[in-house]
Amino acid sequence: MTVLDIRHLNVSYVSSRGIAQAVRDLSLTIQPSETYGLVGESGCGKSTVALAIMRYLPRRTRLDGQILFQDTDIATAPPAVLGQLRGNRIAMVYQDPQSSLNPVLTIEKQLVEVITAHEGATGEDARRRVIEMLEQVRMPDPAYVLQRYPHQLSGGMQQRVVIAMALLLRPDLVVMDEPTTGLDVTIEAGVLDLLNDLRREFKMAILFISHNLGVIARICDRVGVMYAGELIEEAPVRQLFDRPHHPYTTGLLRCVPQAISRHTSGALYSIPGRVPPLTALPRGCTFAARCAFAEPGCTQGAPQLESVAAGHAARCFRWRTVIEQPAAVPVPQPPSTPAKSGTSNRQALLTVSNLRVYFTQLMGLLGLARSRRIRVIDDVSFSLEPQRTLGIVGESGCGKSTIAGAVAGLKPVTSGRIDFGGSDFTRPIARRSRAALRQMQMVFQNSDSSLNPRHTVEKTLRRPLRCFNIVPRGHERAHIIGLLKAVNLDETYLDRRPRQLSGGEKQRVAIARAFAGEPQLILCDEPISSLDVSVQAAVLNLLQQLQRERRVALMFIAHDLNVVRYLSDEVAVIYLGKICEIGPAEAIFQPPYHPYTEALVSAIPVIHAGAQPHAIRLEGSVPSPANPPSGCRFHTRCPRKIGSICEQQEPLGQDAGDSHIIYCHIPLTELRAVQTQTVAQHSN
Amino acid sequence: MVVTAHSNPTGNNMLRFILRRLGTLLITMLVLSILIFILSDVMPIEPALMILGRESTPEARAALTEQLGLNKPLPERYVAWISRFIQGDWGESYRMGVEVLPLVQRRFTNSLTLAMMAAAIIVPVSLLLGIIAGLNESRWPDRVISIGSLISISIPDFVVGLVLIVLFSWGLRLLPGDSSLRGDTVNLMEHWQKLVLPAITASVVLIGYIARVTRVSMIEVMDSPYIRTAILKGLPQRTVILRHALRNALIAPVAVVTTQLAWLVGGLIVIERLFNYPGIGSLFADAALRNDLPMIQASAMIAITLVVLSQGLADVIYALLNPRIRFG
Repeated sequence: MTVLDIRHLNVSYVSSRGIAQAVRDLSLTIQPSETYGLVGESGCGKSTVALAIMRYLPRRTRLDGQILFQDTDIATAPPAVLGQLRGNRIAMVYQDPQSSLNPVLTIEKQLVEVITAHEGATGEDARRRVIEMLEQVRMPDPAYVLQRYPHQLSGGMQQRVVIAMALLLRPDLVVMDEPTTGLDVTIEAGVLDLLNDLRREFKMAILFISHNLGVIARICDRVGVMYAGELIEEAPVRQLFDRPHHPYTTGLLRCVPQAISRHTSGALYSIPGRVPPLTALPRGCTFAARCAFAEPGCTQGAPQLESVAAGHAARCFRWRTVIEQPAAVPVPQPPSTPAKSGTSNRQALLTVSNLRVYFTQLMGLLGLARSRRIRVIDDVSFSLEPQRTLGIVGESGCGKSTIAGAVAGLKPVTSGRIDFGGSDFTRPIARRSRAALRQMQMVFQNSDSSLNPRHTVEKTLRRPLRCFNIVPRGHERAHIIGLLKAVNLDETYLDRRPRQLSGGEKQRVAIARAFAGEPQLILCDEPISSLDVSVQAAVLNLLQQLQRERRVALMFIAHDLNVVRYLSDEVAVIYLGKICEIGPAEAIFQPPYHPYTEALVSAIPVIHAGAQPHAIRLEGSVPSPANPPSGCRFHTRCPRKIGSICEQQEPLGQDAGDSHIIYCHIPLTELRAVQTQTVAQHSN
Repeated sequence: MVVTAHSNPTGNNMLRFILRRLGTLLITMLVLSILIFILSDVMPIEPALMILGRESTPEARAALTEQLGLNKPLPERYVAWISRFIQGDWGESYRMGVEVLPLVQRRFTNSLTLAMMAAAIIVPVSLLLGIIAGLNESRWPDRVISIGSLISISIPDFVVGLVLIVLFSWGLRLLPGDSSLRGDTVNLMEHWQKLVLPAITASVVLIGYIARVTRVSMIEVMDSPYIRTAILKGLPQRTVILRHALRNALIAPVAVVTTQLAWLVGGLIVIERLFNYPGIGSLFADAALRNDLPMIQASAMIAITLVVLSQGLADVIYALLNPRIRFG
């Protein structure tokens, strides 16, 4: 019997700006113990579907169609019925567990009340069931956790609490809205493993919403792809990834940097344009404007969801052409000029030696009593040659951004030395000369807050030109238009303000600003992590192209390993303020690697079958840098710990050749042997 | 797996929190008392001249200055003043020729009684109105309360007082419009009728203000992801509001209420004048106008103590409501 049967669902949000048709004519079914994935970029209506199933929509929302859950139509059910279903037969897991838990109630209260509300059980009986459930979501020490408040738990544990809360009454359907987005990749991997186990144990149906194709591939049975409020393709998971029939799906799959791809082998594919606004949808196929296969007929009538194979449907007039001639999609060419590797002159542009950044936290009475030192960066050394790219990866809280901050002079350096272009850059930004500032620019993660909302694009770009005397006053405008063209925008953008730009456009302006001063080094701190996949690829391509044309070096900080691997020449892996591995990008991601790198690599969700990574999982989260573990800082979580030496002695670097250094006590030959074995085991 | 280590989450933690806050408060008061002393020293007041009058001889004034110890260096005089102050010797008023402490004590008790009565009206009414408005965002109860509170904020307190006097005292003859006390000491049982109108007057402004803060806070909380979680758990609406929303929504207004308490005790000068009520506000105003130095110092110290204590109270209630503060 079908658990969920959505028929012709339409949801629109009514506001003063018009009617946004967030979901249009969506039909889908979910069978018992099936996991159905819903994927698409932001603004495609995925979350609206989830909230419609829960009937949790803003007051001024129009909802048409049927949402049949077993025998009940949720779309028309009275509040009393909804109250009985929610939390009991249908439960939800949310994106941000920290804010989804009530900050002022203990975990015990928040879990027990679910049982009390639906079954009336209280006291010891309910408590026992809650503890059992926490054990089932692999929560360590459940009795202790029950007494905690949400903020006292790590992100991974909070999400386990939310999952336990959803599963308490063994619901028939669980709606999961981006349940691992925002978690570190290592934590995400653990949560996904857990969900995979639980869905077998509990035999429940799951609607799993995510923008991350790798996550979808790891957990779902069937997948629906949404675009601009419509379901545009639906298929069993392997079939969708192996034989996509809709150009949008094809595009999405090609946008993601793959484990094997490197910048030297070509630019990334990206989908041009952006999702149309839901208040003013174009006529005909909503994807036509961005589609490489579109022909005039596509904008005439709207395509219907059409069965293309058993269990596989696509909403495209031209799906036959799409599967027959995938070559019709232009393949990005490798850079015409030979890649920068090999041409490097061995004179370093930036040399960071023994960098330490300690923050002092005041405690006690007015901070007089005592203070503690937080060692955010502890003895980090690396160098970067002109026109090359250094990638820095690590979990959040590892100090990645602090390194960039120290190099830029934004964070005070406790000790160590930063040399840039032959002069001393250890001093803070206020004491650097204009000429020095010009040499080093930054691109930040959040272009919303790093662009002044009151300045037009022209004004934003004129500032660096004036500050650094790049061009005479009369020629500024032409120069700014040149900059905009370089980032694939044009002069129509001159008078726009940030709020009139999309996320990708804002980041382009931020990049143009960074390049305006004609620097030698650009520090990029997670420049693409807030962007959609299709836009990410375009921004990455742009960065590379500009780097080549304008001969700058990049320091690229990201948590996405595939992106870093794709873009970088050298990579440094950071854990708790220390480098655990550094070397050429092609060497870093193959055995032998540091056990931490191994865990990071193994945690990345991948799209392609057969490439499922070997499972090395890290327990817990990054310890506090205020009180870092002794010896090797990674020993508390290391799956390959060899003994007390790891706890007592800080490991020295071992040279794996080609200046690839691994800071680990395990001999390289042994690391290589055991890691190659693990890879082999899992690839057959 | 590592669970962040925290100390024992029972009352022990709260006690330590309160003790730490008390320490901070004491230091704050010490620093402020030094500032007050320096400021009052800078004021162009010659105590001897004020006490002895204009006709006195310079010699007599010099002798009195000597006797009062006013020619000693500033730090020495501060230490002498503060130690006497702590011991309860607040000196004699220059103008009224009476001991400062008993007078201030009496007036302070009067003001505190009035403030408590006002608070007893303000806190429940304003929180309730704010919560109702917040739960019914942009529906009619919210519109009525929002407009009403805006009006109550905009009308000056003396206008409210006058209207109340005209209405209830002159018109309906229900309550006295004159709140003066024989013997200068308030007795709640005996004088409650005299307190009603001034208390309501003081309430009107604050109810509007606190209700608005509560409303915004409530709307924000009801819109939060954890309330969504609570609703989608299938909890009855009563539980969602009482258990999940209320405690979070009260965090913001509590800060406002406690800081306004200090104002209720010391800042009701206009209302005290209007109703002829012998509170501490009018005493301070008089002292300031007449350069009555011991009185000014005493009143400033009282004001500081009130503000600092209510701030401390706010911190404690805040910590009780918000475990993130308690177990940082």
